[in-house]
Amino acid sequence: MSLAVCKNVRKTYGNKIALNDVSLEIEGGKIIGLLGPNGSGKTTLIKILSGLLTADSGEITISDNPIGVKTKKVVSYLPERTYINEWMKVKEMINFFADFYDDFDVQKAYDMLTRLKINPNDKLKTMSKGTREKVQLILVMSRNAELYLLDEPIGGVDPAARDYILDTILKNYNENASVIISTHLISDIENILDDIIFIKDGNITLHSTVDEIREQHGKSVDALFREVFAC
Amino acid sequence: MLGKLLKYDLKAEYKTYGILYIVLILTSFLSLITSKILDNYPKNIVVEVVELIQKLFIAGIPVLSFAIFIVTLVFSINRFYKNLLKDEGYLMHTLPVSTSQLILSKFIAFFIWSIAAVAVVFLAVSIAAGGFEWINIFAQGYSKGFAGVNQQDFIKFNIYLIIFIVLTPLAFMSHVYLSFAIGQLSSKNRLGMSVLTFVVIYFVEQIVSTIITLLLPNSNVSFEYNSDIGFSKLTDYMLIGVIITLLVAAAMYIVSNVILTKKLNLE
Amino acid sequence: MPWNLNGDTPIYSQIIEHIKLRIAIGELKAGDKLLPVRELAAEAAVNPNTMQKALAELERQGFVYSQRTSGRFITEEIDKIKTLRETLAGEQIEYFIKKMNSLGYTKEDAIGLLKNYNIGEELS
Repeated sequence: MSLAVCKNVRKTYGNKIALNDVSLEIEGGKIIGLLGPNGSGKTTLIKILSGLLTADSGEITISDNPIGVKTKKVVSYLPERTYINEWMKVKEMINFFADFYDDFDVQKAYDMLTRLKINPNDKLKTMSKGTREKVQLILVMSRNAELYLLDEPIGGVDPAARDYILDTILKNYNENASVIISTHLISDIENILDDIIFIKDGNITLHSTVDEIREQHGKSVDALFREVFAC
Repeated sequence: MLGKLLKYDLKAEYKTYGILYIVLILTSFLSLITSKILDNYPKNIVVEVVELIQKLFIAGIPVLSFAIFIVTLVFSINRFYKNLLKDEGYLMHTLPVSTSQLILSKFIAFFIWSIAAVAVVFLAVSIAAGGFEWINIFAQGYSKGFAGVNQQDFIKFNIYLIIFIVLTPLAFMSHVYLSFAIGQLSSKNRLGMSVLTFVVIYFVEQIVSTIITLLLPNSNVSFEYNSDIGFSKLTDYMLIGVIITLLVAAAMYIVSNVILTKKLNLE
Repeated sequence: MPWNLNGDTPIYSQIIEHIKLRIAIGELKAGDKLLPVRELAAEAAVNPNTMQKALAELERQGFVYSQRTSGRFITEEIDKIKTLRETLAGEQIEYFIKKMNSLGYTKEDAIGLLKNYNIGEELS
C-alpha cells in the first residue's frame, strides 16, 4: 500500500532546477532516509509533501489525496527552523496543536515533557535553542500522523539529544505510518532506517534498503554516500 | 477552523490593546475628574496646578487615540507578516486549514481591533465630556454645514461616507496583503520588495483614480455644495468612489489569496 | 551486553549474531521472554522492521520461538544452546589457529604457548 506517491514532479527556482522529474513511492510502516548534499532538493521535496510549496508540474498524493487540507491533517512536519510562536508557553502550544489536529495525543506530549524535565509553564522565549527544538520534536511526534516529515532533525544537536531524538522516533513507530528523515548526517541514523533515497541535483539516484546496500556493496550507507557524492 | 484561527489571532494581542485602552480610559476619567474639580473650586494655587494637569489629560486623549489607531494598524500589519510569512509560517501553512482561511482570520481580527479602537476612543471622549450630549452638539454643527441640501441626498451622502470610512482601512490592508504576497515571491530581500510593491501599487492607484476623476463629467467644475444639483452630483460621485474602492480592495484581496495559495515561498 | 553494530554488514545479520552470543554466554537463558520487537529495536537503536527480520530468522533457525499472545521466547532446548556455544567457541579457535599459523606457529606450538600463558602477563 503506497502511502505517498510522486509522479514526474518538477520544481524550479528561477534558473535552478530543484526537482527534476522526480517519481517515487513511499510505503507505509517504514523509516526512510532522504539523503543528499545541501541543495540537492531534499528540503524542496519535503516542503512540497508538507504543502508549503507547490510543484510546477507533476502529481503528488498522500493516502490517495492530492496535497491540500486533507493531507495536512495526516502529515506531521518538523522543519529545520523553530516555527513555534515564541510568546506562548509550552502548554499553550500543546493546546494549540490539540485544537487544530484531531490526532494529537496530549498525554503523550506531557509524558515526553516530563521525561525531559521541561516545565509546561515555561515561556518558549525563555528556553535555550536546544530545549525549544526538543519541544518542537515532542509536538510533532505526539501526533498520530500517517506521514512524519523530519527535516534535519539531528543537525547541530549534541549526541545525548541526538540519541533521545532517534529513540523518540523509534518508540513512536507504528506500522501504519512512515517517517521520512532528511539529513546529511547519515552514520548517526543509518541503523534506524529501513529504506534510503539518494537525491542529487534534483534527481533520485538510488532508492533501496539499508541491508540491500550493505549486502551488495559491502559497506555502510554512509560509506557509499561518501563515495557517490564525493566532491 | 476559521473560528479557531481567529481565536488565536485575537489572543495574540489582546493584552497590548487592553493596556492601551485602559490607559486611554483612565486618562479620560482623570480629565473628567480634574474638570469637575475646576468647576467646583475657586481659583487658588492648588487649583491652578490641577488646571495644568487637566490640560495635560485633555491633550492626552487625542494623542493616545491617535496612538491606538497607529498601533492597531502597525501591529496588524506586523502580525500578518510575522505569523504567515516568516518562521511561524512553517507552522501556520501546514495546519489543516486553507490559506484563504489564514488570511481571512487576520483580516477579520484587524477589523475587530479597528472597531474596538473606534469604540474605545468614542467612549473616552464621552467620559471626558461627561456624557453623550457632545454627540448632539456635533451632529447639529455638522448638519448646519449641509443647509439647503435635499434630505435624501444628505442621508445618502452620509451613508456612503460612513461606508467609505469603514472601507478605507480594509482596502489599505488588502493593499498591504497584496504587497506582501508579491514581495514574498522574490528570493532575496522579500521585505524590501514588499515595500517597493506597496509604493508601486500606490502610485498606480493614484494615477488610475486621477484618470477616472478626470473622466467623470463636470467633475472639474466647482459646484455649490449647498445647491441641490451640485450636491446630488457629489453624492453620486461618492457612491462611485465607494464602489471603486470596494472593487479594488476585493481584487487586491483575491489576488493576494491566489498568490499565497499557489505560489507560497517561505524563506 | 552492549550492542556494537558496525557498518559493513547488514544490520539484521549482526543482530542475529549478537543475540546468539547472548544466548551462548547465558545472558539470555533458555525459556527467557524477549522484549517486544519495538522495545528491543529501541534498545539496539535500530529499525523495528530490521529487528523483526532478525527475530524471524532466529525463529527459523530455532533459537527463538513465538507464542501468539505472549510474545517471543528463547528456545528451551538446552542441547541446542550447548551446541551453539560449542560452535561459537570453535569459530574462535579456528580464528586463533589461523592467526597463529600466519605468525609462523603450528597448532602444537600454539597449544604449548596456551598452556603457559596467564592472562595479563607477557610471554617470557
